[in-house]
Amino acid sequence: MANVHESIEAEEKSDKSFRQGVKDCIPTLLGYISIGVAAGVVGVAAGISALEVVLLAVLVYAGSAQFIFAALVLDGSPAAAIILTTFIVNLRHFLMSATLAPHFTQFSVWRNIGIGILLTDETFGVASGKLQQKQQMSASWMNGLNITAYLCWIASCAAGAIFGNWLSDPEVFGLDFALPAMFIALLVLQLDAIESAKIKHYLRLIVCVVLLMIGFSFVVSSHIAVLLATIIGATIGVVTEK
Amino acid sequence: MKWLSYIPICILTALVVSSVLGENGPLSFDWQAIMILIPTILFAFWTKSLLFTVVVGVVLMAALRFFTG
Repeated sequence: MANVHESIEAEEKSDKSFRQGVKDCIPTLLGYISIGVAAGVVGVAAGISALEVVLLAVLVYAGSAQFIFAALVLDGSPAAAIILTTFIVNLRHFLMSATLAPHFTQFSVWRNIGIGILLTDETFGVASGKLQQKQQMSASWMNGLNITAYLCWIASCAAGAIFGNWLSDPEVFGLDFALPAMFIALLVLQLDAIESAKIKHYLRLIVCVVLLMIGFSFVVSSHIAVLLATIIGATIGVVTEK
Repeated sequence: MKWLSYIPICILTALVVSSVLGENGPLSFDWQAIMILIPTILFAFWTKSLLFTVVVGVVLMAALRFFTG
């Protein structure tokens, strides 16, 4: 009996179908739902319409970029600053796609572009988990994973936007603080993932960025300060690294 | 490429700072936001949860505005 069970499990693990991709996506969905709803509420609180929130989810499909988009729109930033910031924030996808690409060489270029476009931090996480277990991946498994996440994200953002619209005056409810609170939580989660030997380096870097931000606020508008402080901060991080 | 790994931490820090800088020129701060910022950071470290941190931050801000008028 135990053997039968094991063999079923093994079969499930090596299953590369679209359906298995959908199944492998399920554990990550709670994350998409909570962040997506928050992104919808925050977007509406920043003055973006519900339709625009959904369009952002469909076309940009990037949690942190959508939060930053809301913050910059609220700030009255020009489109060029928003596009450049989104580009920098999402540059990590270049690395993630490049990491997975060698394992998908047998599929067509167009199929791989589709996989790359829909890749997220979470689906990359699931896929690299498979890689670590030395398991093969198929394009249809990856599509199952990616498309499930994509649809769940759009639905969550739409739900958040509708919920946000119900509240007529978001400031009274402190909803304008949802955005900074979100950034704090993301920052803390990032710090939590860093190995303890490097944590001091990162904390010093944070102090640097805070000082840079205050310094830049004398000379440039806040959205340019964010961009400059980030670029200089990351450079300091690389240069001072041991 | 190492440079990219520092971007998230730097941009998030910069965004948090920009959200507490006031609108009245340099060295002006939104003290209301800073007061709420501190317990929100502590709560984030304690729970490590995105959703709970956002909810607590919003509730604290609403309470502060309610009690200070």
